[in-house]
Amino acid sequence: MKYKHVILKLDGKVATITLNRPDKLNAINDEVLRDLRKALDKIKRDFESKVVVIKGAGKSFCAGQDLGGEGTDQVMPPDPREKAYLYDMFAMSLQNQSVWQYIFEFPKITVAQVHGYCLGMGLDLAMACRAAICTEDAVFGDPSVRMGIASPNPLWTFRIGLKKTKELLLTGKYIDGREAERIGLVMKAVPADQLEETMATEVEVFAQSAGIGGWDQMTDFWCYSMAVLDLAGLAAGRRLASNAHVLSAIQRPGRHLTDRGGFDFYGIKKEKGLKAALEERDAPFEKYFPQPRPKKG
Amino acid sequence: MSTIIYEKKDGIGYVTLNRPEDLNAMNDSMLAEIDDLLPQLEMDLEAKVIVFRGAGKDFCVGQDLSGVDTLEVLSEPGEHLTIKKRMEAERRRNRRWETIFNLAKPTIAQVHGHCLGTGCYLAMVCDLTIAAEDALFGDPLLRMGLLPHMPLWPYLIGIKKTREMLFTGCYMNGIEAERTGLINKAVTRDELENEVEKMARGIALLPCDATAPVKDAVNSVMEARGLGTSWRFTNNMQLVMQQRQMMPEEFDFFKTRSKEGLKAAVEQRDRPFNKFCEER
Amino acid sequence: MPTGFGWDFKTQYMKCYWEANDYRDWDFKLVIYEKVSDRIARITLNRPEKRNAFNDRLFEDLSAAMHKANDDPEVRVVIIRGAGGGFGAGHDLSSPEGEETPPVHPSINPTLQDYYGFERRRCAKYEDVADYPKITIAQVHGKCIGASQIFAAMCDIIICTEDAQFGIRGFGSQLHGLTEWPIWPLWSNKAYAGHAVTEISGTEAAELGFANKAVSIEKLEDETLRWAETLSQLPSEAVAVTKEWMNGMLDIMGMGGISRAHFHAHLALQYVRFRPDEVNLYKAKKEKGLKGFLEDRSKTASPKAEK
Repeated sequence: MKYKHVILKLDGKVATITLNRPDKLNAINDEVLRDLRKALDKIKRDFESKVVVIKGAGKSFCAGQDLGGEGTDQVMPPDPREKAYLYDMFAMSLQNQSVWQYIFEFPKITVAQVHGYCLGMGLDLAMACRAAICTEDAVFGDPSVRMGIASPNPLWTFRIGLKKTKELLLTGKYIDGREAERIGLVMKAVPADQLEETMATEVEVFAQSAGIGGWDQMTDFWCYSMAVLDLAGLAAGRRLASNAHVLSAIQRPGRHLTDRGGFDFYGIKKEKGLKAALEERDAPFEKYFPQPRPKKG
Repeated sequence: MSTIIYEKKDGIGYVTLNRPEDLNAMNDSMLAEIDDLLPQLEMDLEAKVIVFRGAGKDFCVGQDLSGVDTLEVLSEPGEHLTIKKRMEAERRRNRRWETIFNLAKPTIAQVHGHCLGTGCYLAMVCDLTIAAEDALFGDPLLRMGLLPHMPLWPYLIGIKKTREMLFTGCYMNGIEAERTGLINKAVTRDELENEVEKMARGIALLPCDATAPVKDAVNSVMEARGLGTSWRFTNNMQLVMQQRQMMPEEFDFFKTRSKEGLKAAVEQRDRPFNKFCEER
Repeated sequence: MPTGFGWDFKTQYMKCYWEANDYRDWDFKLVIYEKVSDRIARITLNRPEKRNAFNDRLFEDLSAAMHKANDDPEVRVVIIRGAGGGFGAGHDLSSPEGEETPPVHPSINPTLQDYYGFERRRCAKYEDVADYPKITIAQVHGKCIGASQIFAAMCDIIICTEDAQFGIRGFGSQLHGLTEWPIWPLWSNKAYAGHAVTEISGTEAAELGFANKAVSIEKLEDETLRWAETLSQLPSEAVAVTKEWMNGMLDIMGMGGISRAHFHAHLALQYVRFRPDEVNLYKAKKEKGLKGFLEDRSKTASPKAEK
């Protein structure tokens, strides 16, 4: 198999990338990033394909960066108790957004097909696609603030506006597919049994959506859209948000967030395991921001 | 008596605009008290989140239009100031809103009743705004021949809605405000305090060092999107507006106020637009 | 001044057409200019047999009319609407070569220098209406596509019918610039990303913040006049300054780059190659005429396309 953690299928006009770590809810580590980039490179060179569907195997789209595992230098800031250099922090921060930037600027129509959890980096991925379609009970969110981390994703305010962005990022709360549709985070939220059919219809629409100048024109216009967005602040915003991310993740023993009452994620994970650490992280917030959960079965 | 009351409870700092008999209209005294309070709000690590609210029946009806104790809050035509002094005044006038926008601490505006003019600006620069469904948001400055000097309007509700709101001076209720992106959520008047309390308590679980960089990341993107330049640009355009000639048949709010009193001036200011706004 | 195109080049630099004095005593052929009241001028695009598609004459008449309204010290609000079945179908693709409106056939082979000027003007003239110093209201019914949609987007206010159509499937305008900027948030999944067909109704436009209000066709004229009358109370000096502020804000928010992106993108159209399964615009137009091309094109756009 060519890729370790993704499956790539090329089928005429439609290319499909399936995140394939279902036992880890498709959590993202360095190898996933590498596979994604390689798969995208291949699709870019494939003349036939016009639409790229990105979806997840198993019960969820993507639960975010791999918080428990190994091989996460590119996606996770180091344990704050280790003495990381600023050099490494800055290098990591720009790098971990680069695949999302690649997807965002990709010259074919990218569509995220979301079910189950779509959190943290998984949400960065979905947001980078041109469109997203989900199940009504899909769950979206970015709980980084609960670990003292600022998201380096600059797309938030472009997608859902300033007020909603601050609400979701300052609380770390989750929302369901219906709410996501209401605020414009996704294009459509449908009952789970209609997801495949909806995707098929919309993908066909996207594949036919070139204007009078054909796909050459489409690509031309798209590249100008990207220039316009950069001019509208996305380029600098990406760097500034990335730097804020570094500031939030930089810690020194004794001057760490956990020394000032913050949640000690790494400590608790070491002591009690990942599941317990996540539960303890989110439990205090449940009564203020009850978490929607994907339906079982 | 203080025009601003600050209280702290359970990690939440409450800033109450306190001129209820004047619908919390902002005058120079209130601005001075806000200015004094801002550094304190930021430095107090025990206040994890700040809630702005209004005493009495309204959040804030806007700038105090009486002309008494209002040199700072409202520029009036005919003031004989040099360009340099005007520039300084404009910069000062808007710097406050920019400071609150960039306060290194989450802010929530709890809005009921009228939220107009600079009152609306305060709600806009807060990170989150939660309002009663029948709260009323608006910016009637253009009816008085003044520039609505808040650059966040197009960023929050888009350019078409901005033109509509600022040209007509109509009000938007809480429900429309949520729909257009001006606020986060509209709830019934009875639920308002609880809803804000829930939001504030949830955020207050987080230490300041967690929320500060998150807010900074978002505000940085906004700055890159031009908001930084917009503050200065808005100051400059305000200056241009002040320099213009009044047209002979134009409604002169300030002359009318001198001759007939504040109430009459406000009534005449709004009369040409009332029917349209009611039917909107 | 002859160009590589073989016709007279009007000017590469945009004259601000509502300030120029060329339009005094203009003979309006394709546009009707009237004053609804002292303060309200109304301009009707009057080429209904061509669905008000812009040819050179229509655009010049429109410029002259806007100039006239700007020159009239009483006028404070300008309404623009279309005669017949729609607001406007954009550029007249059937205009003879030599006019500014049809796409330049690759066989003409213009130099880049000529083409820069040509396209900049062709795009900018619709964008410039954003800088008009008085309040503009686009009264939209029926189809509002292409250059007509750009024009409407640049007006201050859009009042439309519920079943008006902004954009058209198969024609496409995926440029995130002029026709989408009024939609907010700019990159929301509610807007473009959700509308690969790039065609939205008046009702949808009002929901997305592209138009201000959508009403039934019976109510359209009265509703527009209601807005015009109300806004005509505002002193024109104050409006001019406020518009300058709003447009400056738009530039700062990034729209300043759009003009260049728009005409650059057009330039690249000279070099498109059509894929085997695509309808070749130039070939189809030549062989089947404009109508035939449009029929072919709409067949290939997916019939299942939903909003």
